[in-house]
Amino acid sequence: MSAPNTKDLAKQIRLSVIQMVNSGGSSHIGSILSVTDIIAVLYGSIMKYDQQNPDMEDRDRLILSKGHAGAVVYAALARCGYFSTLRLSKHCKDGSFFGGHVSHKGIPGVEVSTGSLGHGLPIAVGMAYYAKISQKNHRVFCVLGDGEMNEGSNWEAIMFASHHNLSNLNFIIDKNNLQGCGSTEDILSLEPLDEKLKAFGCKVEVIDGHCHKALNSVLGSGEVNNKPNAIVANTVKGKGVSFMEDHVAWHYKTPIDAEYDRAVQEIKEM
Amino acid sequence: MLKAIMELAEKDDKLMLITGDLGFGLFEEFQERYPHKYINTGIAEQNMIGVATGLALEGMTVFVYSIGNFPTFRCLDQIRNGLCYHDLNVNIISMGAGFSYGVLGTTHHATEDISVIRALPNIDVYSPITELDAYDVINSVYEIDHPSYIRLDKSTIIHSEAVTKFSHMVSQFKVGKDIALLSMGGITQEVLNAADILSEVANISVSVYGFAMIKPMDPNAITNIFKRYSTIVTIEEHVLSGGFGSSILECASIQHLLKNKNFCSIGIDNIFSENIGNQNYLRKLHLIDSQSIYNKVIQLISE
Repeated sequence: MSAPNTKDLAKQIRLSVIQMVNSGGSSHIGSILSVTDIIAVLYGSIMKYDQQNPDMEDRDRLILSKGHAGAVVYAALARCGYFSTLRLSKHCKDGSFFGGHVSHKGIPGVEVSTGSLGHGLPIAVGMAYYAKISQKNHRVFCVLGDGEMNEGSNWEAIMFASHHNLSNLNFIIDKNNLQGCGSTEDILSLEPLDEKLKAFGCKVEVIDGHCHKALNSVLGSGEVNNKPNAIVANTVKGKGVSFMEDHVAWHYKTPIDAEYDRAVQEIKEM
Repeated sequence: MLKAIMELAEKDDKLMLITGDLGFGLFEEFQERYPHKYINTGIAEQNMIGVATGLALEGMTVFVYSIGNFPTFRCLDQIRNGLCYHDLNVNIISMGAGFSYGVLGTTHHATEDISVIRALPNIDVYSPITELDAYDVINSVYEIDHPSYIRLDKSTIIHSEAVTKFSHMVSQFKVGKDIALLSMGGITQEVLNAADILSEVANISVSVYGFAMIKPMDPNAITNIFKRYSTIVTIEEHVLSGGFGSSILECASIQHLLKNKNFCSIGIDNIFSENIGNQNYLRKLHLIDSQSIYNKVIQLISE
């Protein structure tokens, strides 16, 4: 059930999300664009799912723990056929299910509602634990922000995942080096993140989070080990729109008028 | 409580018991008999509730055990957004209601949990009074596909059984005609003692109703009680702000049952108990022991 080309899918998602935040007057476009390639590869070529049967028992599970980038999941689900792309125009509108933080209510394909940071990974760990003790073969994916790694609950979850050898768990940290009020290193330094994750018992890969080949290679690996898989994906906040790239302001701003037109143009030319 | 969970574990492959590294000496037999249905998630309550959420999303029925403030305040956001918003069959067993762990200090006094937990949508709140209540509550929450919070008293679970089952989760422990005392959880023992003193010393005929379920509040039980008595007093080992008395009052108010009623809530003032002492000592200090309940009732009916 895979889209043929993850790069095309990523472009479609980017065009959708720009339109969604513009018409919905919402924010977090920088975080949405940094994680777009990761989501496109997961839905486009890695995960097993059936859009006609979203609750299929042996589907792979995805939790977007950085729930403020929810628009990326809505767009991916629509582009992959879970529901009509026309529904995306309801994003952040009165009476809509499509809120600024990803929600499972009324939206087929969303496993878990998030928005309060540090919640997704513990839940993913519970799902992976269930799959392991039930001898199910599906995989569990969780996508986090790097700023989100400030939350202690993530480190509780990683300890648990390592202790129980949850190798069916794959968590990807969208490392765009920016969080709410500035750079992650200035606010609460994460580095050396890969070493920390290794010390916590994970199998760690550090990759370019915009390189589809690298994402495919790392995420597609069915390699058997007894450790949870941590992927540090180096990304650029606002990726694909030059004036948004690496600017913390686009955590909050909504592209309007000329900014919107230019963003659409740049994405089309990507 | 544990007997009920053991029986359920015996028949249900999708049952899981999780502890946040508490219950030493309590769960060994369970762990031995059902090693795959038991997880000690360590001293990490946020992850504990997250794991419970993930398991329940996969269709498991989960019981989570910890002490008072830890499976509540320490992970309240996880309870709200995980268990309650996703409306999952995860049942939090919170040991050490009120001043059960009085000598362990303020951090271990569980005196605000009802108000906080009952404010969350989808979650039910229970306060078993007898051992039979606890058994029934566990079996009941197992069947109900919602989260629940079960508040257990450490030491004063009452061994005498109720006179009658007044409704599904409300028992009548004493039958009288003048005043209704409404209680919950372990403090019911003090209420029963107060009722005896009221009867013996002041010749007042008192009914005592024990509520093993606080949320949802049983509107029929409240209607019946408010129609029978003009003086109604609630007693709780919990702060008055938003607790058991507030629940009763809200329910009676919505049903327009308060006209010409003499109503009073007895509980803990909205302060921390910085004093150390056992449960009986702290109940006396905070004026929720049987003598204090007696005094307040006499004062109420003398006004």
